[in-house]
Amino acid sequence: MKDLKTSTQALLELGRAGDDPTDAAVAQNRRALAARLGVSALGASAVVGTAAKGSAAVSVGTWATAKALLLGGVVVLGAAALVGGSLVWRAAEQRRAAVPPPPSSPLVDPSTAVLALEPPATPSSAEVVAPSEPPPVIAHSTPVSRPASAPSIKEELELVRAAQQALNRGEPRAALALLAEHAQRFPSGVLWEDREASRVFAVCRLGNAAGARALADAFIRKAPKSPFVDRVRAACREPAPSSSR
Amino acid sequence: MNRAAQVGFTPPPRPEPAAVAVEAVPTFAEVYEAHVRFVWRTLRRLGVPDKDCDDATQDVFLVVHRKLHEFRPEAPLKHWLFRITSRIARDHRRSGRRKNPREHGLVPVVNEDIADPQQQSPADSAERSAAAELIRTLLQELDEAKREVFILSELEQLSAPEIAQTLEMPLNTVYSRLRRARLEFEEALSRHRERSPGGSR
Repeated sequence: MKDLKTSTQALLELGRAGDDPTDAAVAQNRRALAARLGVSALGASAVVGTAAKGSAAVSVGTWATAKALLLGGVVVLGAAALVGGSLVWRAAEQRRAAVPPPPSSPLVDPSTAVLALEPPATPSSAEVVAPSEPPPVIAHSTPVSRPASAPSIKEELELVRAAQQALNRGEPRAALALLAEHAQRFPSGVLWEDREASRVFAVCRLGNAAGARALADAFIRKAPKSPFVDRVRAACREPAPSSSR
Repeated sequence: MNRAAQVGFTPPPRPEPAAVAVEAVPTFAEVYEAHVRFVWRTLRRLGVPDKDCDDATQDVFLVVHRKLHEFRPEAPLKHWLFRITSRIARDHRRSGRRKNPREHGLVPVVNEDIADPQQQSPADSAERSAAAELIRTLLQELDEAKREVFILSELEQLSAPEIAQTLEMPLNTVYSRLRRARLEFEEALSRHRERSPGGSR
């Protein structure tokens, strides 16, 4: 078959990568799609999909999947991969302590879904990276999220995992959007430490070393015994930041 | 409630549960994350105006959400997605203006002028965008059948057998369409260069 001219091939080569949407456009698309699906996050819609197929919402299978999601997702945290077990254990403890929803209850609360359409209180990246203003998401005394039923844990896992995947792809802005969504929906969720640690890495990746260090200091003050402390402390303080790139 | 503080951070010495099986069929969220960029850029290349791509991308994934359980993993998901995307692109081209969720004020406006220091330089980015825009303009001079084959071959870099599978057509048809599509694209590019000497690539 006749090949294209070299100059045409050069044009195609150059333009091939020029049609992708920006990370910000994707983040917005993700939110808008969730809104049209009537859920508060795409991970939540996946839960709905599972339920529609007749699977029990609270089941060992769901939980095993959720664990697999998390363990697969902590790549960006490098040495913290081991922590996955700890987090899963903590999440399981919380789940055991919670009353599971009745089988007929909706997995996604429509009121939550509507709330998710509002511009979040904390998530603009400009606010997130402001060094002088650590995000108020570590407020344990005012949990906004629903009781930690298995679906909400799964949603938490999916959000944090998606954020970590975005970081792995080199899309810190998309990661921050997802982490902000987590912060809004699960301010004191079981994975809040993962969220805050990931946020430090994402802000660092954006090139805002001062903001990352401020967030890191706030995190360490809040959770001095966290297994993430070493990684978070090292972030943006060395020539090679703590990224998996 | 601070369960995390109560239970501490040390994992108890519990045995691992039975081996976790990896799901063969991806979840909707996984499909979205893996393919949203592919869908978006394909819509642009198929002639959906930039202002409608966000909306059209959502439309594609609404269909995906509804039909994911029908998807059969024998063929790559991307093939199935392309067919859905192609149909949605056709709808959007036909109807012109579509209802945009932003008009309802539900979706915050994206601030896209914040440059990511980790990404390519603005000059590179501008050059790519300009090239991509020219390609999209030229693609619109091809008819739909040839345009699709050309996009899959020259931009998505699929092989002819993969294109045949994607478009569900005989391999020979793919070859003949691709041959004509390349010819027409070259001609369109030549015309463009004649119209704008010095301004072309």
